[in-house]
Amino acid sequence: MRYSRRSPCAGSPSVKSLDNARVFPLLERIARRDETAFRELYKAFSRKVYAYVLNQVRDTAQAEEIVADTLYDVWRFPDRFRGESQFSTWLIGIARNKVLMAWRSRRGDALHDDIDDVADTLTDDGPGSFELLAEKQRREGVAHCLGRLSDEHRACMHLVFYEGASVAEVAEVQGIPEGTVKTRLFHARQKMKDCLRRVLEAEGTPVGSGS
Amino acid sequence: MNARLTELLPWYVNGTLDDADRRWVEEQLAASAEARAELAWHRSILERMREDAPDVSDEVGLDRAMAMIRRETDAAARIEAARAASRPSALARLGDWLRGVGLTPALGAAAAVIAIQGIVILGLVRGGEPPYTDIRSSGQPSSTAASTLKVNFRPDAKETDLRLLVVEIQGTLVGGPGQLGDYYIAVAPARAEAAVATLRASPIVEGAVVVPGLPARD
Repeated sequence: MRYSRRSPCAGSPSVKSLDNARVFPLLERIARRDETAFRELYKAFSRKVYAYVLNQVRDTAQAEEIVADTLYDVWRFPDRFRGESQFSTWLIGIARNKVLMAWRSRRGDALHDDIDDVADTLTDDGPGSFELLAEKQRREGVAHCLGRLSDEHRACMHLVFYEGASVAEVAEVQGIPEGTVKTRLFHARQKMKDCLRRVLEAEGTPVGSGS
Repeated sequence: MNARLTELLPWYVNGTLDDADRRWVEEQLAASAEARAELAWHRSILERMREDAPDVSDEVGLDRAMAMIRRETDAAARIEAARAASRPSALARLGDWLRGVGLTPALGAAAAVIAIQGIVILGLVRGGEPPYTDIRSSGQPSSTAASTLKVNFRPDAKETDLRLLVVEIQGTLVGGPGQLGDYYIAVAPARAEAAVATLRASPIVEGAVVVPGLPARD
């Protein structure tokens, strides 16, 4: 299977950011300590980074802090971006490292608080279950179930469905092979599906038992 | 459900599949109601997640970032000013010395230039010092201009975090790493105590102490 590089910001929600051709001149100005250029770049990417970080840390104050730290790195080292990926992908990679560091300081090495009570794999989804889920699942239910995923699974879901990232971009951000991205996303979806089914059943909408 | 279709659907709905895979997926969708139902679920996930986008200004955290830039700029200016104040140029020092031994200022300056040229040429002929000497000598503070801290970082500390910490304490890396992982950071004497406290409180630091200066070179 092959994946194309997405066009700049393809699929990205509501947040309009810049493609690399517009980013490089800003970076050159930032290298000359041009604060106006930094502000422009900041505003173009802050919300994308914030959405990713908030999805991970679930704390608005900490998310804001990490966004500032991430973009401050750009101010300090503007020449580190080589254009080998979309700038937003590269930036989210920096943010991810800062999130991991925040986790390390907060809770040691316990990076994975995965949901043990949700089956890792589900088999034989009934033909009607997808339709019911698609029709009934609500934003709150999806947010709830995302919150119950492991950090890495949640990040993967965010990058693919919210950010519109290609498999190559997810692999770059998460620092894993593309095959692992596919496996990670598969398990994340299975857990989402099972969780959403449980949410709907708790609300009185039987979706089937996954069989 | 077709395993390949299941694998491809997320990338189909987010628009990053290449043409060949996209056509293949569309063929499967045209032929299977079950596949269309799974597609609908993926699209629903995408839409629900994007509906939940945080409502936040594009200036989120900007003030904080600008404050860090100001601190960095101010710290760099202070360090540069301290260095300039405490360390006259080599030319000035040589000129002063020549005047001290009885030469006129003009003759002293000319002699200083000649002497410096001689030193440079001699250095080139001898091949110069190894590169790390430049790093150590250029940043080494005089005993009156700065305090020197010896710092040991955790083995898993990231270079990025190390840099941010050095900036936070308004320090300058003047030596290291040594064979035992010692780094030496110069800070203004008035800030030394606070800098040590900040370093010791950092999760990436194993130890930080004030030392009399850089260790003697082997």
